[in-house]
Amino acid sequence: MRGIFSPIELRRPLFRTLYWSLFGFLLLTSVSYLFPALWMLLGALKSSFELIRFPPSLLPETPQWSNYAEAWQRLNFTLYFKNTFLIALGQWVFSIVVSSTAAYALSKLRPKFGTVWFILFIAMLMVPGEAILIPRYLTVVNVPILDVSLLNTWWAIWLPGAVNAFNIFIFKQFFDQLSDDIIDAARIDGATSWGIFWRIALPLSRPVIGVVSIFTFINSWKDFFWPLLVLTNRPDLQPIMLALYRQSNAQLNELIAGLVIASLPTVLLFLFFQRQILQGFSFINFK
Amino acid sequence: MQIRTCKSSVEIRYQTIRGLGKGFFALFALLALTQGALAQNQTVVTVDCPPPQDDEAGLAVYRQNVQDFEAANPGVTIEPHEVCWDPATFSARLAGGQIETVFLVQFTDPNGLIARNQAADVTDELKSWEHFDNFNENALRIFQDAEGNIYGVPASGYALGLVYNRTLFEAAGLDPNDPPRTWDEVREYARQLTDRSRGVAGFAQLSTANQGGWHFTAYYYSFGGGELVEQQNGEWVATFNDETGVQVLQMIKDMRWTDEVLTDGVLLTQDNTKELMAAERAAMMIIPAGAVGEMVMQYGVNAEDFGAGPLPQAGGNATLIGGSGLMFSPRASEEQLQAGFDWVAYRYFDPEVLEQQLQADVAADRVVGIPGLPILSGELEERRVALIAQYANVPVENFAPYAEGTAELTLQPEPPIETQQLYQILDSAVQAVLTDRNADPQALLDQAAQQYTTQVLDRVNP
Amino acid sequence: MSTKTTSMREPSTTLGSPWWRKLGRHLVAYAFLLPAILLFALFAWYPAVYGFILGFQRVNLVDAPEWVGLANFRQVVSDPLFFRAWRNTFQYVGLGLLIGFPLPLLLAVLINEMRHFAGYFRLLFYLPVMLPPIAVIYLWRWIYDPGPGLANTLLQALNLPPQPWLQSPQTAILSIVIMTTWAGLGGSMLIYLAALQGVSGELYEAAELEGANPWHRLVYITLPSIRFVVLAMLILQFIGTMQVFTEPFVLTGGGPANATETVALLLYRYAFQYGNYGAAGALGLILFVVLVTLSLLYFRLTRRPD
Repeated sequence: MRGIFSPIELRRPLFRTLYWSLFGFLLLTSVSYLFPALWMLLGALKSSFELIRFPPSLLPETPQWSNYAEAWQRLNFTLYFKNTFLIALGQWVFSIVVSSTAAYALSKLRPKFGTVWFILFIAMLMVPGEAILIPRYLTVVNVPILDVSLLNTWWAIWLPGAVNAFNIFIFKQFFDQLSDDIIDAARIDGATSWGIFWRIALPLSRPVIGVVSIFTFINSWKDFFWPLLVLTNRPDLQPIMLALYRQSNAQLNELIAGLVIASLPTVLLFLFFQRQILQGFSFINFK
Repeated sequence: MQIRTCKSSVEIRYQTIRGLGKGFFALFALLALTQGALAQNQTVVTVDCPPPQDDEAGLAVYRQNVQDFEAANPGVTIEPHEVCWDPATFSARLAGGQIETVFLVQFTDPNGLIARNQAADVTDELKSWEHFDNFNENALRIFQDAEGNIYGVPASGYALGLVYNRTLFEAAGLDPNDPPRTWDEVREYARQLTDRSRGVAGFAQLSTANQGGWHFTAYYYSFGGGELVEQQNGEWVATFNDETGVQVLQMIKDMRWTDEVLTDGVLLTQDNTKELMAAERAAMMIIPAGAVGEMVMQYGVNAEDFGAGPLPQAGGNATLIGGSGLMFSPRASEEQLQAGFDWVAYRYFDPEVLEQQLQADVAADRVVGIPGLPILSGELEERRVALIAQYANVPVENFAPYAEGTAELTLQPEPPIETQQLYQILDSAVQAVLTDRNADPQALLDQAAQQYTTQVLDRVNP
Repeated sequence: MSTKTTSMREPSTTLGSPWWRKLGRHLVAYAFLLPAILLFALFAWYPAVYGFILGFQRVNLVDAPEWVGLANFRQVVSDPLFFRAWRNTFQYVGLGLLIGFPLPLLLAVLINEMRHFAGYFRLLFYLPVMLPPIAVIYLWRWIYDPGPGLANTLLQALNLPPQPWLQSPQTAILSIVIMTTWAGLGGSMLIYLAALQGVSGELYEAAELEGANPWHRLVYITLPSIRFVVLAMLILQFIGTMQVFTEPFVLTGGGPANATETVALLLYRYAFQYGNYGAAGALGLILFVVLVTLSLLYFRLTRRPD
C-alpha cells in the first residue's frame, strides 16, 4: 500500500521537506484535539470548585484520585458495562447485516423498483428526528400487526437502531465501486448470490465495514436519550451513559470521573484496533 | 394507570406470530410475556422521579415510605419509575399511554397541560383532604383552570430572591448581612462588586432557555407592572410592552452597557449562573434561595459563603413564585387517582416522612434549612417548620433577610397562557439588549407583544 | 480518467436469460432487501407518515385527533421566526460546506500520506466523536469566553481585537460552525481514509512513469478514485446540516436574539416546549419537502453518465 508520494521520492530533499512540513501541520492541529480528553482525565482529579474556576488550571492542585474510586463505587459498573456492551453489540450486528444486504441488493442485484426503494431509504435522512420521535416510540410501545410491545427490552434499541439510511448509502457507494466483472466471473463459476456477497463483495469492502462498525458501536455507546425512553422501568437493563445521566446528585468531578471510566472502553478499543478497523477487520475470515 | 390483567393476550400474540411465521419475532414476544402479570383487584399507582440511584439515604427513606404506605393502604401498590419530567420524554410517553399515574412537574408546566387536557381533574380528591383549606392559594391557583377545577397538588415552592456571595461582599466593603433591597441599590452594589482584574462581575443575568423571559417577568412584577397578560372585555391582551416593561429592559441594558457590571458571557441559563456564582466569577444573581443547596451539592462550595435577600424592588412589592407539584395521568381510574393523591399527601406533607427525609439529608451532608415558600398553613405546617429548624445545618441567619423580606411581598404566579412560549419570545428581547448596545427596548417589546398576540393569544381568544 | 474500478455495466448474465432466471434474480434481490424493508416500514416510514399526518390535525396525544386542514401550516408560516430560522439554517449550510466539507477530506489525504504516527493522528482527530459531549462543550465554552477565553487570548497575542464569538448575532453562527467542524470531522475523515485504502498503488506508479507530479496525481487519480464517496459525503453533510439542532440548542439556545435559531430547533420548540404537535408536524413536512427537492436536484446534477 502506498500513497501519492512514492517511497523513492521521499528520499529527495524537496519532498522530504514537503513531507515533514505537512507532518508538522498535522501534529500542531492534532494537539488541540487532545484537550477535551485531557480536560476530562485531569478534571476528574480536581475538586469541583477547581474545575469551574476561571481561568482553568491545567494540572490539578492536589490530585484527588479518590474521585475515580468514588465514581467506581457509586455505580455498578460491571452490570452497566455488560449492558452497554450487549446493547452496542446487538445494534452493531443488526445494523451491519441489514444495511450491507440492502446496499448489496441495490448496488449489484438491482431488483425491479430498486431505485424506488433506494429513494425511500434515503428519504429517511431528510425527516427530522424530532418530528418522528413520538410516533417511533408509539411503534415500540405496540408494534403494528405483530401487536407486541418492545418496551423495556433491548429489542426496542436494536431494531430501530438497525434503521440507518446513512449506512445503506455509504455501503452502496462502496459496492458501486466494485467491478461487476469479478461478480460475473464468480456467477459463471456457479457461485450463489449469497456466496458472492459473503465471499467476494464483503471482503472487498472491508474498510467500509470497519468504519461503519465503529460509527455504529460508538453511537450506541454514547446514546442515552432513546434508552431513557424505552428502558424506563428496567434500570437493570440500562446502559452506562443513562445510569450516569440519572445521577443528578453527583458532584461535577465525580460525574466527570464516571464519564472517563465510561468512555475508556471505546477509546481503548479504537486505539488498539484502528488499523484493523480501517482494513475492515482483516482478522475475520469471510471464506 | 395500569391495572394489569392477564387477558388472553397469549393467544392473540401466538396467532399473530403464527400468521407471520417467523421465530425471530417469537423470541421477543416471549421476552415481553415473561414480564409477568400482577394479581387482579390491586390498584397499581405508578409514580415518577424517585430519588436518584446514588442517593442511598434518600432512596432508603423512599422505600420505607412506600412500604409503610402500602401497609397502611391494603390493595394499593406503589410502583416507582426511574424517570423524571423532561418535555421530550413526557410527550412521547403520554402518547404511548406510559405516563405515570402521578408525575412531578414544575409550576411552569400545569397551564399548558391543563389547556391541552393532558392531566386528570383531581378537584374531588383534593377537596376531601382534611388540610385542603390550608393550601397556599397562590400555589394552588397554578394547578387550577379558569373555572376553578384543580388538576394537581403543589408540593414545594419558592419565591425568586437575590442570592449573593458573602465573601465577595466583605471584600468589597459591603455588609453581608444587609443585602440590597431595591434595584437601584443592586446596581450600586454591583458597581462596587465588579472587579475585572479578578474576573468578578457584580451581577449575573439569565437570558436563554426561556429563563430570560422568566426573569423579565419577575422584574416586571417588582417594578409594579402587574400582569403581563390581562383579560380585557373577555379577550386576552399582552400588556408587557408598556412603560414598566421598557423600564425593566432599559435597566438590564444599562447594567450591561452603562454600568458594565454583568458577566462577559451573557447567554446564560440558571445552571451557568450557578456555576459562575460558585466559581466566584459573579457576586449576585436572581434565583430561588434553595439554589445554594444545589451549588453545595454540585460544586462543593460552602453554604456559609452565601446569603439571600428578597427580590429587589422598584415600587411593585411583588415577587414571582415557582415550585413543583404533582399531576395525575389523564388515563388514570378513579381508584388510582384517590390512591395516588393519598400517596402524595403522605409522601410530601406527612411530618414523619419529612423527619426521616431530614435525617437522611443531614447524614448525607446535604443542605437543610434554607427557607422555601410554605405550601400549607396551620398546625401541620407549623410542625413541619419546627422540624426543619431543628435539623437546619446552614447558618439560618444568612437567609433570614430572604425569608423576612419575601413575607412582605405579594406572591405573583407566572403568566397563565402558554408561559413557555411567552418566555421564549421575551428571551430574544432580553438577549437583544444584552448583545446590542443600540437596541431599542420599546421596539423590542412591541415586536414581542405582537408576536405573542398573533402566535398565541389570537388562537386563545374567541 | 476511466478506471476499471468504476465500470457500471449491468451484470452480463442477465442478458438473454430466460424469464424464470430473471424472476429468480429479483426474488433473491428482494430476499436481500427484506430485512431493511421490514424494519424501515416499522420504525421509519410508518412513524414518518404518522408524524406528517399530525401536521393536519389538532392533537393532545390523549383524546382523538381533530382534522384542521391547513391551519397548522398557516400558523407555522405566519410565525415571525419561520423565515428567520430558514435564513439561519441556510447560513449554517453555506458555512458548513465552506469550512466543514473540505477539511476532513484534506486531513484524510494528508494522514494517508503519513509514514509516521498515522495511527496517532487517526485516533486524535476522531477522539471528540468518541467522548461524551460534556467535555467538548466545556472546552469550547472556555475557548469562546468573551472575556479572558482562549480564542481572545490568542487574538490578543497577535494584536487583533477580541471577538464576542457566540455572544453577538453577527458571529454566533460562524462560531458554532467552527466548533461543529472541529468536533465532528473525525467521522467523515475515517470514511475518506477507508475510501483511500481502495485507491490502487499501480495507478500512482503508472502516472509517475508518465511524469505526473504529486499535485497532478492528487487531482487526476486520488480524487476521481474516491469521487463517489466524496459526492455521497457532500449530500449527507448538506442534509445533516439542514437539520442542525444539537449545537445551537446546547451552546446558544437559538440566541442571541434568534441569531442561531434553526428550523429543527423551532420544530423541537413546537413539539416539546409548546406541546403544539400539529405545528411540529407541519414544519417537519415543510422541511422534508424542501430537503427532498434540493436532494433530487443534486442527484440530477451529479448523475453518472450512463
